[in-house]
Amino acid sequence: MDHRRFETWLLNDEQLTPEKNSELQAHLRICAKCAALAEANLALHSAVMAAPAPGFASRFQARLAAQKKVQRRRYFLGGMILLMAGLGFVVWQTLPFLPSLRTIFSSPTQVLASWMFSLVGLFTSLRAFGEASAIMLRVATGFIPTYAWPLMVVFFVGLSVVWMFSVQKFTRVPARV
Amino acid sequence: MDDEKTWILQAQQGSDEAFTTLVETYEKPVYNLCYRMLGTAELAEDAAQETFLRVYQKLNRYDINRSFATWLLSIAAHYCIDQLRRKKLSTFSMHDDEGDPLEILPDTSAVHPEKEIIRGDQREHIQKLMQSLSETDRAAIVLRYWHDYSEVEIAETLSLTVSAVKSRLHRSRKKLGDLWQDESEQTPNVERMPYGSPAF
Repeated sequence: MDHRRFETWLLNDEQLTPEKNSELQAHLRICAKCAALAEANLALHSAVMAAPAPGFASRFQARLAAQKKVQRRRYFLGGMILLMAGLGFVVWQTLPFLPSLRTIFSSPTQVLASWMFSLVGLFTSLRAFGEASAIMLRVATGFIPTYAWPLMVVFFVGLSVVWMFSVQKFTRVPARV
Repeated sequence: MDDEKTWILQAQQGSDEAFTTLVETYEKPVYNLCYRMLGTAELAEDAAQETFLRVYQKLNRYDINRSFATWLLSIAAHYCIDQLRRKKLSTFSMHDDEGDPLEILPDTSAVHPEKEIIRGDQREHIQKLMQSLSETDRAAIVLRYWHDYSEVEIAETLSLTVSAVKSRLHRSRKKLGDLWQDESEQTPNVERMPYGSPAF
């Protein structure tokens, strides 16, 4: 008798026609392997749901409240640590300037003049940097031939596409087998 | 919009009351999955509670167009699989130290109480045999037979392909059948049941 056919029916958990079912019943009387498979399947088909002890939702609410409390405490402690660290950093950074603070109160005009001098220096540097960049761009446009510009654009766009594709590929969670 | 979606939206807006309603609605399926996976009432209770905590924290990331039950059971199944892998639970007792199992007892007032009792024994027996399955195979079997999930839904829940689910279910059924035969040979006086399921 073709044993494998019946085993396949059982393993695939197929819905059988009455004729096939009669054939299977006859086979099960003589084949211990298929009979065991059928009994295991029957036990699975008669599965019942297990229920938690009464009051599950109340116990969950208590657990959620406890977790929220712990989280609040954690946030508070974290905030305090950050605040203290920030204050410490500010004090540490201010310490070398403490003597000059006295100058602010003794001669504010001198301090204001020094601040203005720094600001003017900053703006002058920025302007010089802008002029240097403009000169370099002018030199580059004369140096690089016209046909090379579209090629460069295509190259950088291609590079960006490859980069985005790689990021997407490596960050996607694959389906497990 | 159905009630469930309303509760989810309210819970997403911060209503703990709506979330509690969701817990009350789904406590049994989540607990059952955890119980069938982990084997003891104590571990199942803890895993089910942890599942709902995780759901509470991730609720804003839930896509309302997806099935909530599938998403919820997916979190529960992955948590249980992680727990089993981490702790390498080798023992799988139906009667835990906390007392009697919380499973629904066979209905002795049924039309055929003796049949019901035998079926209860079979259910207990199959649960014991399931310890030999891998974590993911066990989850697939529980979702298929206890939760009546289709292969597509199991695939979605366990992040597997449909063909992988089919293969896992096939392999698990075969293994359970082999184990059932081995145990039956060791205890030859076990009464065989008439085959009443659609396939038999």
